[in-house]
Amino acid sequence: MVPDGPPFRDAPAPVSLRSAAPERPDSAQHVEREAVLALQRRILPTTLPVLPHVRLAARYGLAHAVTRGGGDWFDAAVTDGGLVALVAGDVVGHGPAAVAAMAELRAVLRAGLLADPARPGHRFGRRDVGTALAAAVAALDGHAARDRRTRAATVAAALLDPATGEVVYTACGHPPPLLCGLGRARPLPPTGGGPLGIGAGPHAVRGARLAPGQSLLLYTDGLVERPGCPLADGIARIGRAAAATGPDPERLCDAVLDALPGGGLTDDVAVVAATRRVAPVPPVTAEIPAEAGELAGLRSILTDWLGALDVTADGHTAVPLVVSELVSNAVQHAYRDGAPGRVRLHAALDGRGGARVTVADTGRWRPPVPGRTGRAGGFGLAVARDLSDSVDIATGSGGTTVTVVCPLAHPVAVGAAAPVRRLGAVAHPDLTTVERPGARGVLVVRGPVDEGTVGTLRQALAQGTAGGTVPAVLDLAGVTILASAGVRLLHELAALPAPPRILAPAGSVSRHVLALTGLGHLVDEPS
Amino acid sequence: MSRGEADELSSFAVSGTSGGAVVCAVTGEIDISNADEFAAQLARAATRGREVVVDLSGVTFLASAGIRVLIDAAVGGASGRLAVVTSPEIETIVRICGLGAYAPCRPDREAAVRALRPPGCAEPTPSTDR
Repeated sequence: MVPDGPPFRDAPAPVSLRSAAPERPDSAQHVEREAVLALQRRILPTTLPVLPHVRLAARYGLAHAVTRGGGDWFDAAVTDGGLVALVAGDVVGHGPAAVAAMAELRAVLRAGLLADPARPGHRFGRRDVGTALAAAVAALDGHAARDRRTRAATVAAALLDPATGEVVYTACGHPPPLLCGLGRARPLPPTGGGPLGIGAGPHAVRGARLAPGQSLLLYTDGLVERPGCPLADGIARIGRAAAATGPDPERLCDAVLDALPGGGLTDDVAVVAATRRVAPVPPVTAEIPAEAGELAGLRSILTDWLGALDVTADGHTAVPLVVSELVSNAVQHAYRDGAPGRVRLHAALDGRGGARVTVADTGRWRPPVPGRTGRAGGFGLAVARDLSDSVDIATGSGGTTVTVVCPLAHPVAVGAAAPVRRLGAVAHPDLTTVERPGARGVLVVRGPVDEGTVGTLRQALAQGTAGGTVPAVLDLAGVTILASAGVRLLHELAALPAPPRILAPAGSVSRHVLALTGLGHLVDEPS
Repeated sequence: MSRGEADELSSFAVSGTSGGAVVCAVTGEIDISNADEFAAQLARAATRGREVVVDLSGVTFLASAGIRVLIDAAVGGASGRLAVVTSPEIETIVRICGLGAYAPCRPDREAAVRALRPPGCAEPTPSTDR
C-alpha cells in the first residue's frame, strides 16, 4: 500500500517498499530529505506570473523514503521582451549537493533566458526567439562543463510568445515538452544533442505553436521513468492523462502526476505547464460619479476580477485597497471647488505579471499636506506606493491620472503551505553486473543504474576493460532504470579512446534513454 | 454597477465591558463613505469608560480613512486609552499606516484588554507597539 493520493497533501504515514523498517525521524535519511525540501522550498518559485494570454501552473514533488531526489527544478518567468520562459531540468546526484548544483544551473539559465534581446516596439520573430534560446542554452552548456557536479545535467526549455502561441524549444538529453489540449497530446519532436556540460552541444532548437486552449508541459524524467518500463510507455501514459484534461494547467499538472502508477515516484519530479487562454483576460473599466458611496461597488468589481484570476492573497488585498484609496483622494479633493465630476478606472494585466491600474479624474490635483498627527495628510499615496511596483502621477489642467502597477502572483501550491508533494517510493532490486559466460568482455547489467548503484558499475567496468584501454561490450537489456548518473558514466566512457559498445534491444528501458541523451551511436544493432 | 456594502456601517455595537474596558464590535466595511459615522460612534462609546477596545475582527475592508479615525481617537481622545482587535483582512492597511504606533493592535479581545492593562500594573502604561 503506497500513497498515490491527492495532490499537495502530505501523505499520511508513507511506506517505503524498499525497506520494511519505518523511517525514524532522526535517521540520516530523514534529515537529508528534510534538508532537500527546505532548500527546494526556498529556491523553486512559490508563485508564478499572472498573465493575460497564458495561465501557468507548476509542481515539485519529492518521493518519500528515498534520498536520491533533490536535483530537479522548474522555472516559469516573463522575459524582458514579454515572452514566457519555461524550464524543467535535472542535475545528476542527490541531496543538498544536488540542490546546490541545480540552483546554480537554474540561475544561469534564468539569466540567459530573461535577458532576451527584445526591444520595445520590435516584434520578435521566431528566428530571433530561437537565436535567444540557443544562446541561453549554449551559455548554460558551457557553464555546466566547469564543475563535475553540474555535468550531464539535462534540461528542457521553451520560450513562448503568449500573444501568438509561437513556441521555440530545446531538450538537452531531456524528454521534449508535451503539447496537449483539445483532446489530444503529443510529445514535440526531439531536438537532438545530449546532456549539458559534456561536449554534447551545440543544442538545436525547434518551433511549435500553441493554439488557444492548448498547453505546453515540461517535466523531469521522474514523471515518466518506471523501473523496468520503457520511457516511451511513461510518455504515452502522461499523454493519455494530459489529453483528457481541459484548458487548465492546474488540472493538467494534477492529471499527469495522478497518472503515476501505484508506487508513485522513484526520486523527485518537477512539472510546469503553460496553457494559452481561449480568450485574453479582459480589462476592468468603470466610470463613476466622484462620490464616496460608489467606492464599495468599485471594490467588489475588482474583487470579482481578481477572483477569476486565482491570485495570491497579497494581490487580492492590494488592488482593491489601492484603487479605493486613489478614488477616495479624487472624491475628497479633486472637485472641492466645484460640482462633483467623474472618476474613471481602468485595470488590466500588464503582461509582465502585474496589474496596471489607472485612476483618472478631471479635477484639480492637490499635493498632500501634513495632517494633525504629523504624518502626511493622506495615507492614500502611501498605500499605493507600499503595495505597488510603481506609482506615476500625471497632473494637468484636464485632471489627474494616477497609474500604479501592482504585482500579482499565482500560487504554485493550491490549498497547501508548501509546494511539495510527497509520494511513495518504488521498490527495485539492486544492480548486478556479471560477465557473460563464454563471452569475454561482455558485461551483463541488470537492475537500476542510478546514483546509488553507478559506483558498482564503474568498478566492474574498470576491471573488465583494464582501466578503459580494452573495449568492452555492455549488455543493458536487463537494466530497469537508466538514470542521469548512469548517463553521465556512459558519456565519460564514450569519450574514451576505446568506447564500449552497448547492447540495448528496441523496446528496452535503456534504448530510449540512450537515444534521448545522445548516446544512440554506441548501440550495437543486432546483426 | 453592483453595490457592495454601502454608506452606513454594517454594525457598530457596544457589547459591554471586558476587564473594565468598553468593547465596541464593528463589522462590515469602513471607508470615506462612513468614516465620520464611525468616528461619531467611537466618540460616544468612549464616554462610557476610560479604556476602549475596538474589535475590528468583523471588518472585511478598512480604508485609511478608518485608520485615521482610530489614530485621532487614540491621540486626541481625552477619555482614556484605546486598543484594537485586528484581523487578517485588514492587517495590510494597519501595517502601512502604522496604527500600532498609536494603539496596541492584537488578534483577539483578551489580548487587546491585556495590552491596555499589563499584569502587575495598576495603571495602563504607554504602548510599546510599533
